[in-house]
Amino acid sequence: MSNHTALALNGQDSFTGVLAQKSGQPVQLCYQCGKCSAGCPMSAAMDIKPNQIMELLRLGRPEPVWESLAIWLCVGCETCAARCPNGISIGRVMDCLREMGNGREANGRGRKIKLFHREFLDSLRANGRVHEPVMLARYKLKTGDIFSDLNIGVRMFRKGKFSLLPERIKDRAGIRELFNQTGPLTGGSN
Amino acid sequence: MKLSYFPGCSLQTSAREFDLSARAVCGELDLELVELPDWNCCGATSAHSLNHELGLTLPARNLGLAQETGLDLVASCSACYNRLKSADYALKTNPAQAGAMRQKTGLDFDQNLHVLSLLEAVTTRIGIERIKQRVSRPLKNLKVVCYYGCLLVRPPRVTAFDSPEFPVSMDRLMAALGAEPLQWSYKTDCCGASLSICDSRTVRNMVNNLLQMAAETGANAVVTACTLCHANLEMRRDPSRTMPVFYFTELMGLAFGLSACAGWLHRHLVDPFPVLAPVLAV
Repeated sequence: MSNHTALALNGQDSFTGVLAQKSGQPVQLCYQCGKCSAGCPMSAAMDIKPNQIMELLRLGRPEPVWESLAIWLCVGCETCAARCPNGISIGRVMDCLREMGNGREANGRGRKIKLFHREFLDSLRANGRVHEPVMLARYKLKTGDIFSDLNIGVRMFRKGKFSLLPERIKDRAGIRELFNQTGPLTGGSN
Repeated sequence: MKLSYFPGCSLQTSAREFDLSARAVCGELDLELVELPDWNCCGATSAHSLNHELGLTLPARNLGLAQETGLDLVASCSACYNRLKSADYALKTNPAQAGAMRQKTGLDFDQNLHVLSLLEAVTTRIGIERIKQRVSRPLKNLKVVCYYGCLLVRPPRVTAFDSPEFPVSMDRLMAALGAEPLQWSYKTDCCGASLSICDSRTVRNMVNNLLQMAAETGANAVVTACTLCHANLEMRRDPSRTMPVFYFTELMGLAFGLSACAGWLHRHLVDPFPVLAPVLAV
């Protein structure tokens, strides 16, 4: 670890310093080379590009970021992390921003992505493993978008790609305890 | 040789052909996969997207179970592999984080466990030469592009396997099976991952770009090591596209002449048999 990185991670009380400490990423070192936005597979669909987000954060002006779609579109592919000359994983910063903003989102697309993650984790918490058909059905019901993938669902069912009963682990109590130990999920009380 | 085996949730349902083919070809090569008892879901993208600690402790529970077996741990799904490896990396390099993980899971972790992807286990623990010797039906006339995706090779300091920009391990494996691996520039591009369900329009564009480039490269099939890449490339494509997508283990099984292959391949949403006709005719 370079001296610069160590200094950055040993952040002060500024917003940027706190973010660097919390995320473990030296966000102050960003010098706007733009490699993250150039390589990001979601960049084209984002309202604020990854390098623009980094500049807002470095300036301590995160307000537009909390309600952006961009922080929800990041899937953590880590292309930015592999290419950043300053060793910043912007994907990890995005995780951190979702938690710090506690799930505020700009529009319906961000809301749907958050809902998907929550349904996934609800299924995991109940069974210890994720039961795809029920998780997807619950997600579809909650979004009201019931028919968009029905065709694919039927094809998958015919190919035996959906099992009707969930796989459940024995130590489900242990899994519930892990959820309790790690605290609330972003954007919700449980 | 024995390894602890972490199949992952989707290998029991939508990607069962990956699980079946992985067990079959490893068995052929005397690599025994011992399923980790009572393993839990790794949390995938969803856990670390909403709670960093949860994203590390869920896979850490599995690391604790693996440690008890005394065997190294191999994960077939790239997403599971990446989450297990991320937790492993945090335990080995970040003492503060490791302390929190110990406290939250109630487990004590030693530093001796090694986490591998199935591709890594096959290419490094078994080795290309031994695989080549086992080939009884070379995959002649099959031109493939190898699609590694994101989580097998990134972030490089965590995965420490192959190259994050231009990996070659799967290409070498395909060449050993008698197929012709073609070089293309989308080896490690993203398939759209879980946004396939909740932002499918974005993912459709990404998937069609990938398949278009595969076609322009001259390939007649895509080979993958990831269940989500496989699902997205099959589900989110323009219906006019017919290029099949294989798990690398399925092509190993084909080259080994295993009769169980047909059962795996019948589970695909995109019919792979037209492309395989010249291979199976030999």
